[in-house]
Amino acid sequence: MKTIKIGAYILILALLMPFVSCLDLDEVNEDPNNPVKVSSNYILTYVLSKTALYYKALGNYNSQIAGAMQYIQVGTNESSWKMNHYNWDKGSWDGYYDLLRNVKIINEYAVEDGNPLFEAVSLILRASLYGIATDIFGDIPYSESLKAGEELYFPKYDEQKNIYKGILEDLNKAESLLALSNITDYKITVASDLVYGGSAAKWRKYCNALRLRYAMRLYDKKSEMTGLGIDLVSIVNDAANKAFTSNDDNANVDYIGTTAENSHPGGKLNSSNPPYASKPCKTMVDKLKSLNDPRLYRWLDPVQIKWDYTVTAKTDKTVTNIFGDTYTVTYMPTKNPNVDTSLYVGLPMGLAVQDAMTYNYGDNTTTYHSERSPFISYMNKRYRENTDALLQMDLMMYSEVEFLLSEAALKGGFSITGTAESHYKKAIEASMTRWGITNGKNGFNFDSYYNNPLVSYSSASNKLERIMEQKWIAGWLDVEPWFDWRRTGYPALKAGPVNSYGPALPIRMEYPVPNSDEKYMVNYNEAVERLQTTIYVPAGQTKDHSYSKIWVIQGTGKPY
Amino acid sequence: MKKRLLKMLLPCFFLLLAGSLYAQNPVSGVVRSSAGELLPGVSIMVKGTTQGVITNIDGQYTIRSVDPQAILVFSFIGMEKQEISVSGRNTIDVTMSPSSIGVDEVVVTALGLKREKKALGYSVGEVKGDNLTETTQSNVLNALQGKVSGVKINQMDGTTGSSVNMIIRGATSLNNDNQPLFVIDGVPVKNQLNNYYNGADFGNQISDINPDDIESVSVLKGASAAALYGSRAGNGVVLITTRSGSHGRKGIGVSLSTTNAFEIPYHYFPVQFTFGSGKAGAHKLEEPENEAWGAQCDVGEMWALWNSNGEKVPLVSYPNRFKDFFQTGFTTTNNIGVEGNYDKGFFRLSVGDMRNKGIIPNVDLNRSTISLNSGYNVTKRLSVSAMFSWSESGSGNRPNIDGDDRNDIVRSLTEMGAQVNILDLKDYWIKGQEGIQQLKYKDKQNNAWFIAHENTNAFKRERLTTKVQFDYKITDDLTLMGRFSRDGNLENRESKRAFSSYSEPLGNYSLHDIYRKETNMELNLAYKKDLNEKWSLDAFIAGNRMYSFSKEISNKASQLVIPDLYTISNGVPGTVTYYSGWAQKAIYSVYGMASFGYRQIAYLDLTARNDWSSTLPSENRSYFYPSASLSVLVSEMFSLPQWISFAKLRAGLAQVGNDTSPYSLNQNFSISSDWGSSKRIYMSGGLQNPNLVPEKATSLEFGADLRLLKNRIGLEATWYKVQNENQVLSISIPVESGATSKKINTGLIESKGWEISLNTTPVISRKFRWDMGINFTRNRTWLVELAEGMTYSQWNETSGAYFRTYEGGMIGDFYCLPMLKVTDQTSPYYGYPLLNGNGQYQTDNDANHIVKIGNANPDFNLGIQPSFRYGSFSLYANIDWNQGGKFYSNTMMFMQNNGMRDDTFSGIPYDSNRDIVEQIKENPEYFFHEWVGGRNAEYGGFPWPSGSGAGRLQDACFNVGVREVVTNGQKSYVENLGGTTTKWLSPFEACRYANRPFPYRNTYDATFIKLREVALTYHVSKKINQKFHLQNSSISVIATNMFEWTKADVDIDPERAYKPNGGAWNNGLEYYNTMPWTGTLGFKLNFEF
Repeated sequence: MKTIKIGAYILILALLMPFVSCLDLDEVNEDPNNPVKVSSNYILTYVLSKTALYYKALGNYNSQIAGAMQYIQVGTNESSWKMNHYNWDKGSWDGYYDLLRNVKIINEYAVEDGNPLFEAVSLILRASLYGIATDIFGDIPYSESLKAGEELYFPKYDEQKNIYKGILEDLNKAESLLALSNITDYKITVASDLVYGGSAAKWRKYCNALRLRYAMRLYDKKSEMTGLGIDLVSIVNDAANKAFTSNDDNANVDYIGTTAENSHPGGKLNSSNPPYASKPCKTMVDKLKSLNDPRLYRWLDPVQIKWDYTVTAKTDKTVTNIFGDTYTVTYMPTKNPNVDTSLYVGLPMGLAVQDAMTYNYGDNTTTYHSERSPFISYMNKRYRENTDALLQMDLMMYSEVEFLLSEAALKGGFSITGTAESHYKKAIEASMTRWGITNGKNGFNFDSYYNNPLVSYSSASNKLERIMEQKWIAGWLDVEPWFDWRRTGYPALKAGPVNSYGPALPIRMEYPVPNSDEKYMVNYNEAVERLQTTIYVPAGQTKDHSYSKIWVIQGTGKPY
Repeated sequence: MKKRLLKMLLPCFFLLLAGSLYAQNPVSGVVRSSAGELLPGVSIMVKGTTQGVITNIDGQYTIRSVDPQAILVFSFIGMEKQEISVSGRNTIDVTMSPSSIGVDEVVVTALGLKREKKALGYSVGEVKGDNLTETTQSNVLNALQGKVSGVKINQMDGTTGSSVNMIIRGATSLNNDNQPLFVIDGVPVKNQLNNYYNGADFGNQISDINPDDIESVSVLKGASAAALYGSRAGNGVVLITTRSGSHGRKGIGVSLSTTNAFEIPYHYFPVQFTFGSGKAGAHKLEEPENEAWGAQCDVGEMWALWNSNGEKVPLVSYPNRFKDFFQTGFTTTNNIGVEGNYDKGFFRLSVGDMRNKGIIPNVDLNRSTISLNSGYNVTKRLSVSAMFSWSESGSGNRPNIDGDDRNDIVRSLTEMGAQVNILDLKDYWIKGQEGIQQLKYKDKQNNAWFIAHENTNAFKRERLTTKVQFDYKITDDLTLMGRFSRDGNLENRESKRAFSSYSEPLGNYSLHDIYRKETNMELNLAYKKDLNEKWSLDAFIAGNRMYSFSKEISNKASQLVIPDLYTISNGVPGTVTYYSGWAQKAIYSVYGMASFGYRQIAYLDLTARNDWSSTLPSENRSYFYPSASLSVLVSEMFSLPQWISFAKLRAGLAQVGNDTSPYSLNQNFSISSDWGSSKRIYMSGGLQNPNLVPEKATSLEFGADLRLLKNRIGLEATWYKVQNENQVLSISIPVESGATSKKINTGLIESKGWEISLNTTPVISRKFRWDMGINFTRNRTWLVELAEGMTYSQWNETSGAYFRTYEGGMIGDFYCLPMLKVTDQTSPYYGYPLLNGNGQYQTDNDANHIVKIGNANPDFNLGIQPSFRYGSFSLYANIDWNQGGKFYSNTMMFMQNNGMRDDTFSGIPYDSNRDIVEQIKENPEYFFHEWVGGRNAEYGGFPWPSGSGAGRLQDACFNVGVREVVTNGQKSYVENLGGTTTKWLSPFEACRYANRPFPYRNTYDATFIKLREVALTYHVSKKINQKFHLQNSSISVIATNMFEWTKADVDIDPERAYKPNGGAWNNGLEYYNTMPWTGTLGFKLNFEF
């Protein structure tokens, strides 16, 4: 009993011990898992990978913009409302502002550390991210954005002209930083710069390419911009000789193909099934066919069953394209005059769902699943890969620079080296190169392609239209052609027979669902008020609509 | 420690032997009720022994030999227990009087203090262990359903073992799971609602407890009751007292119970088996589609099917899909308890085992528990006690219940075509490609059998809860208690995805290990004394140190190299991801209580507590909160009418502070997954707050306890109001501000409610007794004030349903945008839906026009537990009634969209013999928001205009309203009412646009009534028991959830309207939570030796 008793007292003492030995509560609350400060290199990798993903997703084969630009239609109900009929989903800017938050940190660190290279890169990224957001939506939170840390949760929406002003000022400043003689003393880790491997010279070219892009985007608003102190002419003149000079300068990020995130969206890692529903649009297919454009074979596969007036019996033939890709195509005899007998068949724009599903069925009586019609071309096989040598995420391509210079030269008032035609020609050649098409290889002769009266600059009655048409082809599955079409009206795309709001293409994306806080709604409502309604916005519907005009095209009469 | 335990146990055996050595005189007598009736079946025990008899039919008893100094204990159900000293007598006649309900009852209150119920100024809900095990439930929380007023308990999903949500007095916190603190024998134990991993719900950790080990459960509902627990008691406290052996009779007792129950699916979510797969229309079967708008089955159509090798075969339906897939579940539960009680101490050792086979093939759940509870009186003044409780819960596979995931079996089954025979898919590998390619009839879904057998989500959770405690009586009035407790568990989760899984073509494998522990060290000095004839004092002062630690490691191989080999190292290079992290938290506390009693008429409790939490900034770290409660026994003060046996009024006012989660103060970077070989680090949108202050909940409650008609009616009613200030809330803010959420201290959240419990004995006679417990709960929570500059907070958005609360609004509200209509009052079409150019309904997208469509919270809950006893039989039932509230069913939206319900064969009924335009103009409101037409002529479809719809059946349909057209720059309206200007749609599209964008179309009343439990028990008579040397034995037939009625009548259980959303569950939102409704039926045997 005694020992038990003693044991018990020891127990009591033992239990009292911890009250004497205290933990430091501040130490207890130090986060052991997440760092407080990190090198900008790691943040940069995050921003660049995501920027490329978001930018590519905007125009990719499954995007509503690809539907509007008549690259793609869907041959089923799935997403037909937006891809074929312009009943667009609301946009989202979550991704852009998420990245802008991180870009801001890179910028602050760069300023603190006096690092002009990181500062310039942060300014370029800031300009391009705000740029894409305002291109899509119009007025967006800008000057008061990213100030949650200062308890400003409901930023006002800035007028678009002031946003573009800021973008160009950022780019101008980045250009001046990158022009510093000692810029090469500052380093970005090669592996962390997914776009340029840390090359300041290449960033400078990208910066100037962006200056060209935005200066030309604002061309019709030149005088208003001058009023804000932005001289578009001098920007173009300055940037013209400093931008991309070859496809090696292209701003892009490669897919890696190891995880869903870093793989092409059509690849197996992202999508259990091939993108059956995505059909090339007839507008694009017919254009490529009429130009005898080799890019057709990079982008599309032939039909599985080809209607044929010559064969007398169902015949399987092996078809080889100029790149040596071979396909087995069933030639099906028919006398029906209403079928498309081409090897490459696109789905016409904006058909009623019930008609899209049976397009080019001719005399067919076999039942096929709507998405798997053998009578319409499919996307090229490479769009089913996780990664492919030709499927980079392009932020900006050399061809675009040349198209911009061509346009500037055409419009005049700038001092551009070279003629509009020379830049136009270089632009097309650059696009061919981008898609692995080289003059003299695979039986491709650039000159004979170019000399086609449907291609050559000289044979065009409307030069701007010609430039923009080729730019549209070169911009396959990118978002830029939509912005160009919006400001120029070219290519003159027509809506299909069925459309949600009228026979016209959408000209902006609806804002994300706004925060419903009264203070936020005041800002939001003001921005919506500044939108200019068009006849296609339904009566009684909010002006925050995909058929309302944003400032950049207000008063320009474009695109309609 | 082992040796010491042995030393404790040994004397107990000797005592048992000693008990049987005394024995001398016979005693006999007659037992009557106060009304003079003879009472048969009254139990007479010799106190401190196992010796006892019962009265015969004439109320007579005889005990052969009794120590003349012995005490006899007379007990009979419904009668006051009496202890009568033999004092050398040979004849003892006894008159028994009906027992009063609970007046002198002792309940367990905060910190395990046993208090007389009459002295309490606040409401404590208590459930005895027997009431928890009437039927056998795998999770003790399920067993509490409906049994305590003010408490709402919902099982989140229909499967055995899924998490159970327990909300006391309404959800008051906007950002955590609102689960109460659970304390087992003084040991705070971990529980949480979010046990969700890779789409599967692994169940609450509280389900590790073996319900059979529970002596009683006390629910401390308000802050007054729970204030002593401080910060962690904001959502109430559930005190679980386990069986310890200390209250049993002297000696050794053994109890055995076994339950075997079948879980029977009895109601399957009804889908149509008339039309097959497809979305093109009934002219075409499209097996690859999830939708069921395809060709009609069983009418002689011939189609090539997935398994007909291209041959056209008759299209027939297989309407037994669900029955063919689901199976009868089975649960077997076995418990053994050995307990001993003797002068020097007590112990109870129990072993429990539960094994469940689910209604889904290859789904299981099991739990093994061992616990030992013991105490030993070292000296007269010093006693020590210890508790060890070990459990291992686990499952080889928990079903995926995430409707967003194609591994959800329910979704896979529901989205099958009527023409598919699920039994054809049972051998789920393609022959020759076992392990590589599953057999599917379409690409867009996994084979349900394949999911069940190959894509498993397993877990194992080992838990050890321990406690060591001493109680030292310094003087008769002064006691020092010290306690060390620890609750730790290690949970291993494992998910496998086989090759050829939808969205994981190369499979994947993930592991997630979570270790959590919490230790508490507590010292408590208590003083208890009757100060003088009038005044008594009961007080203590105490201190506690809480330390919690958690560690997580997770690894995932997102693609595998070798099929069917589940190791992380089998991951494809570059696809393996890792995560590790740990967190800790500490709280120091000092607290005390003083309870004053005046002449057993009035009692005043005062408590105070101060906490220092590591999670708050050092300047705000310390927070103090007091409580006061008063109990006045009116029936002792005034002479009340005779029918009032007892009346008490009570009031409590309390404040509770709370801290937040660790690392909520400083802004940190997060590490993202690698981009190839490059590291990515980013700043997330979560804005921390270095200036957080402690939360403060102020609670006020008033109540009355009444016993009427000689205690035949017991009524407890409480009104409460809780004001939560400074609640730490992660509020979402617009991303363009630079952050997506910010931790803030909110303004004020206020809950008000009523809780009433009624315990009555409507009928009592010699052989028959009817008892009834009724619990009423009503709670309302308002967001009175959010925070400076903010007016609403949103929890979720699904398919256009916004789950948000505005300042001044109620928690649980949800909203949507209305349909766009013609707003021009001068137009003859004013008020008509304005369709888009395709002739489809469209949403009014103006965010200023958002409308409230419901609130998820019920008007009230009512739990009813009638119990009847007739002779040796007793019948127990538990009925739960949930009145009011709404839920949005995303399932119903998809069922409509996918043409899965019978009511999608036709649009709204119309008279096919009359012009449709006329009909609509006569009665427009009837048609607005609906689609008109059908899947073929028979179902009301219209003929397609010439040039359109080639090859289709007569299935043209339309949405009702007008479209805008522009001519010469002028807008005008054209009718879309079925006339020539109508834009015709396929049935699928017409139905989709009438339903999908408008959540109010799929919002339903959440009212339901459930018969949760029924138990019919035969109590074996004493005679037979004695024959087999048993103290007690019974056999029961038990059933759970055998009946459910829902007001909405859409075959969806409103109780399951919860959807996991990050760390929280959103109430009022249902998505593919359509597991079959099941009832269990089984039998239970109980023996006590």
